[in-house]
Amino acid sequence: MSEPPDPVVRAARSAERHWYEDGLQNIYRGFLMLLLATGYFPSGPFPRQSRTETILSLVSLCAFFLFCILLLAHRRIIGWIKTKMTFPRTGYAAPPPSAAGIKTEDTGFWPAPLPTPAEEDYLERREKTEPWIYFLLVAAWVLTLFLAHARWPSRGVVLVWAISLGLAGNYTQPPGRSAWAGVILCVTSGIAATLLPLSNSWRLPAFLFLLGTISTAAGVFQLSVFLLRHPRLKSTEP
Amino acid sequence: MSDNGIKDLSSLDRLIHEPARLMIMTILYAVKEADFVYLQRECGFTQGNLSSHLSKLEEVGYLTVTKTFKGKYPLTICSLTRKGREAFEVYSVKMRYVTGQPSNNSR
Repeated sequence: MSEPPDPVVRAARSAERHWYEDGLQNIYRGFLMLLLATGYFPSGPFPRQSRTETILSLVSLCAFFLFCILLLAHRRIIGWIKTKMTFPRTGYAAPPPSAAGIKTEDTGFWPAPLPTPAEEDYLERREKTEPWIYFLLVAAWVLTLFLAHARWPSRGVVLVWAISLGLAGNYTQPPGRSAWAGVILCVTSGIAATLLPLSNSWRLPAFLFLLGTISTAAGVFQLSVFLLRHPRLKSTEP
Repeated sequence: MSDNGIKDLSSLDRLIHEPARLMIMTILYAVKEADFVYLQRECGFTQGNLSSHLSKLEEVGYLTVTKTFKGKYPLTICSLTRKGREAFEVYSVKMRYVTGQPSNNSR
C-alpha cells in the first residue's frame, strides 16, 4: 500500500475522536465495574451456609457471567446504541481499527479503516496482551474471592486491584481516549476504599462500586454535553 | 513520474483536484466508509453542495453511495471503490512530486 499523506492521517484521527466523544464507552466500562462489584457481595460478613449467602452467591455468579458476556459483546452493544443515539446527531464514520476489533495484519489492506500510528501501536500491544488480560481478570476474581473468604487483609487486596486496574487501563487504552485520567481514577478510588470505615470484606466491592459509579457518572456527563452540543438533526439526507 | 517535468501537471486528476472533492476523497480514504451527515459535518458543506460533489464522484466510479435505514433514520453511506482509492493514491504521489515532498514512510 502506498503511503498516504498527512491530511489522511488527520482524517483518521478525527474519526477516532468522533467514535469516543459521546462517552458511551465510559458508561459501559462503569457498568461493567458495577457488575464486578456485585460479584463480590458474597464476601460480605454473612453467616456461613445462611440463605442470604446462598442467594448472594447465585447473584454473584450470574453477575460474573453477565460481566463476561457484556465484555465479549461490547463492540456490538455499543455499536447498536450508537445507531440510536450518536449517528442521527453527528453522523456515522467507520469505527477506528481498535473499536472495530480489527487485527494489525488486516489494517494494511483495503477496506479496513486506516490506522493512525497510535492505532497501529495499540493494536500490536492489544494482540500481545489481550488473552493475558482476560486470563488474569478471571484469575484475580477467583483469587480475591478466596482471599476475602479467608479474611485476608483486604486493604492490601484493594490497593493491588487499584494499581493493577490503573496500569492495565493505561496500557490498553485505545487512542482517542484519555489514558491517565483512568489511572488517577483507579488509584484514588482504591485509596478512598481503604480509608472508608468499612469492614475488610466490603472494601473490594466498595472500591469497584466507587470506580464504576465515577466512570458511569463521567460518561453520563460526557454524553449530556454531547447531546446538548449536537441536537438531533431533522433529515439532512439528500 | 515521467521526466516530462512541468507537463506532468496536466495529467493530474481534475476530478479529485477540486478542493471540495479532495476533502471528501481524503476522509473516505481514511475511514473506509462514512455517512452523509458525517461528511457534511467534517467538510462544512451545505447539503446541496455535498450532494452534487458526491454525484460527480459516483458518476466516474470513484465512490459508491448506499442508502439504508437505521431504525427510522435514513443513512446515506459513502465509500471509495477500488478505482477511487487507486486514483487518490496516484493523485497524492503526483502532488508530492509537484510540491517536491518525498514519499514519507512514517505516518
